Amino acid sequence: MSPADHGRNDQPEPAVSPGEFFRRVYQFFYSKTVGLILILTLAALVLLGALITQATAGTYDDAMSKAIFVQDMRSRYGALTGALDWLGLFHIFSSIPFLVVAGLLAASILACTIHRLPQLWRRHAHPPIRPGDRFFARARYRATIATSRPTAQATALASRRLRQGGLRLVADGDDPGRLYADRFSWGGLGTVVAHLSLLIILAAFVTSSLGKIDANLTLGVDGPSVAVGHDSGLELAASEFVSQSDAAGRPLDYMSHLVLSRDGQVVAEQDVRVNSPLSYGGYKFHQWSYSQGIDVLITGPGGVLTDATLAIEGTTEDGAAGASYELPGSQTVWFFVPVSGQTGADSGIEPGQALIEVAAGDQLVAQQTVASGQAFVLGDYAFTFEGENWITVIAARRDPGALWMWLGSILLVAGMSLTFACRHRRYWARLSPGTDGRTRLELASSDPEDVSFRRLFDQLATDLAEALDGVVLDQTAETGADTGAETEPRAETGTAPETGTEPETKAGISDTPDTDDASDTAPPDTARAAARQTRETAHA
Amino acid sequence: MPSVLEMARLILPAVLVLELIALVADIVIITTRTTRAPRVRAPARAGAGRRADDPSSAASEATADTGGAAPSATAAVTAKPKVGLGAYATGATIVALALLTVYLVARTIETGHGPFANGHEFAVAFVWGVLAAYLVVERLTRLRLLAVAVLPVAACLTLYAISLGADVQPLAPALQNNLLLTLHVGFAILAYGAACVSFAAAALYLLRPRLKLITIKPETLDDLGHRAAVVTFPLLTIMIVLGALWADTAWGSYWSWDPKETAALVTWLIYAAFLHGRVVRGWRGRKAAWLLVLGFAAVLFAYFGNHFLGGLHSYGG
Repeated sequence: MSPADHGRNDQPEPAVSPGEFFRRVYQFFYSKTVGLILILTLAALVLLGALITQATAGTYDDAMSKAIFVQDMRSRYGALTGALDWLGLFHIFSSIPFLVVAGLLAASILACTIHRLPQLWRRHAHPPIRPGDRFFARARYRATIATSRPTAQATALASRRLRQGGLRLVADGDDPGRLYADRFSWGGLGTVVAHLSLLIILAAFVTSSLGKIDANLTLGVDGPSVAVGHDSGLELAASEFVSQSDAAGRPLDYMSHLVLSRDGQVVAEQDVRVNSPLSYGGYKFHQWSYSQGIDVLITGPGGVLTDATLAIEGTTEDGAAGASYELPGSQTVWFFVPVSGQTGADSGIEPGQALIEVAAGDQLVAQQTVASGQAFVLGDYAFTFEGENWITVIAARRDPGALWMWLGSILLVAGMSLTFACRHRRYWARLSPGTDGRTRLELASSDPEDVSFRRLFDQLATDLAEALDGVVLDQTAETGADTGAETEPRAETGTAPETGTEPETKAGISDTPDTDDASDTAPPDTARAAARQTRETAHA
Repeated sequence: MPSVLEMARLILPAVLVLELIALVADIVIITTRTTRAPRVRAPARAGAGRRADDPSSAASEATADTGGAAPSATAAVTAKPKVGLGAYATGATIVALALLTVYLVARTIETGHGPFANGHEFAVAFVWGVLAAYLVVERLTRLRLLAVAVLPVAACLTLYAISLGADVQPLAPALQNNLLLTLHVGFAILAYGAACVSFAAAALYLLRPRLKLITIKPETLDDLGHRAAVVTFPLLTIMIVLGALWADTAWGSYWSWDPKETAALVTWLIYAAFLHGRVVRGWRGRKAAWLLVLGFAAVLFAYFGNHFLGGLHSYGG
């Protein structure tokens, strides 16, 4: 190591103060390029989530469920299954990469919004009203109107016409021949509202994921009530279930009549369909699914083990539908009934009867066919078949994030509408005596290429000419990209900043508005050309 | 009154034929168009409120072919040798839209709900959205050339609609919410139509260097693609919000990462990236055009997604 190297290593690293550190972090997040990259990254992750089968919620919380799911996926993804699982692509929306990108995007939206507010305020309250000569010569939209009226009178008429057109007029106190007019100067607030709404929506997602109650309650029709749980004190019962289909077997309607009670008192009841849930106390009860079931009563040495409707779990090859109940120990009792609409020809079970089997593992211990209401007694156990029944599955939901979601959604739509329907339109005018003795009104604007704005601009030029009894001499709407047309107004060289001076203002660009809005952004090549011109002007 | 099945048998092939007639007519107009480039700088003349280069002169024809752009003093004027044919092309498209409207209204009356309940109805409505969006844009900008890109999409979707069963099916229990069905899918139709127009503008922009027949200024195509995307994006937003509202009503969860929901979110994010890219990076030209093509591909992915992605929207097929 050379002495010089040694000396360098001895020097302390330049310290970054906490303030500077946070400023840099803030700068990073309000960079719209960062925001754009995050949006595209999120889009790529979401696309993966759409293309790759996603595990249902909770699957990855249970090792057995996860193993079964991954095994199922092997038939679809083959050798890739392991890699997809390792990368977390089967539960991408709860994976670390997705949450990190979503979090970074939220930070980016927040920083951009905070950064943008002062700019929007300046644009509204202190618009740049005195652009330089070059702007009038090279603006993307420009028109020259000649009138025989004196300059002062023409200025007054033009001002009146601009106001009549619904434009806000800002006069230059130092130079009455300069006019600035705009419409929807507050339109940029729409982007703030829209961006804040996205934060609210993200917060709603977080609130929902942390505080949402989502439980499926299985109810036998006319069966016992089931506790809703979650300290609600509510109990739910179904007194009726109807499933209607047409002749072709296409479903027409599912309806459960639900009775909600607390402390034995009915607090709400309603016919619940898919699109008409029962709402009570912040809970909503949705018709989720249904199945056939078997009403059973099972008693054991200690009394009643269950008095409920068991869901049909499957059918046998000979046309019997079965439901099971795990007995204490290692035995299972199965109840078989004929599949709906079939006689007992194949299974040997007649309608109104049930075959009850008690098994220990794969070994049949005992069996008996009983009629409805009869019991099969086996040792200390009694298995009573009480008849066939419907089971309706009701989703009990309570989502504290939903309200925030709707608030965010309303603000999002409102903000977007403001942003796109109320775009800030700006016009600069300069009136001066021409060499031919007539007054010249130069009108210019700096919006990006925009067919409809071009029409608006043309119409305004025509209207002004009419108001001044003048004629439009020249009108150009060339594109900046092709012609190097100036896309932002700049002050004359050496002109002291007047209004709307940006903090980063340098000589020659004293009144350059910010360019981070769609209505103001110049194409990069044009922006570079403008910058070159600015430097030349500054040198001059 | 014929049944909707008979109407489907009559109207949809007729719509397809009309779309093809309009497409052929537009292609003939474009391929037989001659371009001359005279200087049209007119002498300034006095007259209150009149432009020196009077728009009522030949320059206004240039406006017609340049998306309503202001007549430049040095603009080349594109002659229109087949004025009548253009009217026929537009007329055929309007008649096709009118027939689709009649068909969709008839289905609404027959079924008692918005005509968006199955794949056939949604496909017909999609065609309706595409044609309506195109006609609005043609009316506003007189950019007939867009038809060359829009009408093939409409024709393919019409063929697809014809291939699907047109019989009236009972509304699945999950769809039995007439208001939200109409609003949610209605906004999807409008958004998809606008997206198709933005795709058409982008496709023409990308093909322009290879096809001399595309005489529209690239800036005009770029701007039109952007403006159509500006319409698409809020419509997509409203569609997704309404979908979330419906999901919350029917399933008790405003967002379930259902594949179709997710595909719609991908579409939304692509259009969001397009609009941000335009603001942040000044994305115009080819880059922007490719993003719009990608956006419409995402629209089609979301539209057809229920066929291969499954999920809660599977009844929509």
